Amino acid sequence: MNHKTASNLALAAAFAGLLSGTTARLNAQPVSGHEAGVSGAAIAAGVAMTAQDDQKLPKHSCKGKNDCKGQGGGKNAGKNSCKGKGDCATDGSKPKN
Amino acid sequence: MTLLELQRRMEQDVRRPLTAELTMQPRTTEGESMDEIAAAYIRPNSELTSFERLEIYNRQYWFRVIGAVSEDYPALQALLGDERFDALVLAYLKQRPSTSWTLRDLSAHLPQFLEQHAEFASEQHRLAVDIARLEWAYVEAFDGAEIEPLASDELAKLGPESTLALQPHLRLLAVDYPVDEFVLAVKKPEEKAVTSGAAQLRQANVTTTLPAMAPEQRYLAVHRYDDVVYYRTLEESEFRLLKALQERKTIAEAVEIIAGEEQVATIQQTFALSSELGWFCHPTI
Repeated sequence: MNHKTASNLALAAAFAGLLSGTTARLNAQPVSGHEAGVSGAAIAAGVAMTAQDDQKLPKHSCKGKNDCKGQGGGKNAGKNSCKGKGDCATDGSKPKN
Repeated sequence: MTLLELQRRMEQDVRRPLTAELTMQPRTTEGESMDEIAAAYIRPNSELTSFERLEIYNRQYWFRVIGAVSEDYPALQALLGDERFDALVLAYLKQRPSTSWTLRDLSAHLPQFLEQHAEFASEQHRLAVDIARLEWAYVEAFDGAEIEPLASDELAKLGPESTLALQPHLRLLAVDYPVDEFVLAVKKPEEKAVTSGAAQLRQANVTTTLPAMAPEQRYLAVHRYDDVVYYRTLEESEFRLLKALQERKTIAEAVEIIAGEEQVATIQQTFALSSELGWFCHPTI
């Protein structure tokens, strides 16, 4: 097989793949009113990188918000949550018990 | 002091690095007393001095940015341990301080920084860099843009000289270790159900067992599908083909890179998989 034939075969394979993959994708579109199942594309997607419970959580949900939870600030340095303990109060007030 | 001057003064003081004990520096690098600086614009009260009140903001700033970086690299932290990881993050933030309105971008350059600073990971340097690259690829796949994939009528117009763009959220990585297994072990710790005999209460006992890592070349595609981040391991030829397309080579050029009688099936499979997952989109974007 000469180089040109090999290239033509490779190109034909590429376009055949494009068409078959697109057809599979379009056929996998969810149908309104039906519970989504595990489609071929979902399987082809590979391995999910997070635990099931974490997948829908917004990443960095606390970033940019004035929540000191888990940042270990205030007068208690370290990794402990200071939220709700008054340690973040910049007037030095103590938490109410 | 005008409002602008006050804002700049406080920004400078809040962003000043902490001492090794995570307290506010008593003096600026120019030798000025922080007691005096704080007293100039912060009133003390019965509980706290001006210095102490400013220190709360100074420390909170650093705890927040350190936390933001740490959140992106849990597997790297697991590999290095807290002490080495904290040293790495502090050194990184010193060289790459926050310059964006969003903390999302703060840790973007950590993999490159680590690449250039082997001292933070010593003999685990290559492994650490690969883990960092995969963890950042996760961030980019998580919130990278998604463009409408090419429709079948658009595909019909393509020819050998056409170029294709790949989805912005797709990241292609060549790594020297099977770091996908390591990252997965940290991000998806094994859950063991513990059942209490009396109350039949189910508790999740999450354990993380870190896999041993030996060098092994891997090719990974990290991407988002249906709002979930996935990775796929690729063959080297699949990786090279996709990489060429991502670099905007024409279809003919990309195929030529791996073309050969034995690669026809791989080419077809790679194009089929990529279009099924909606990875191909318009190259104009």
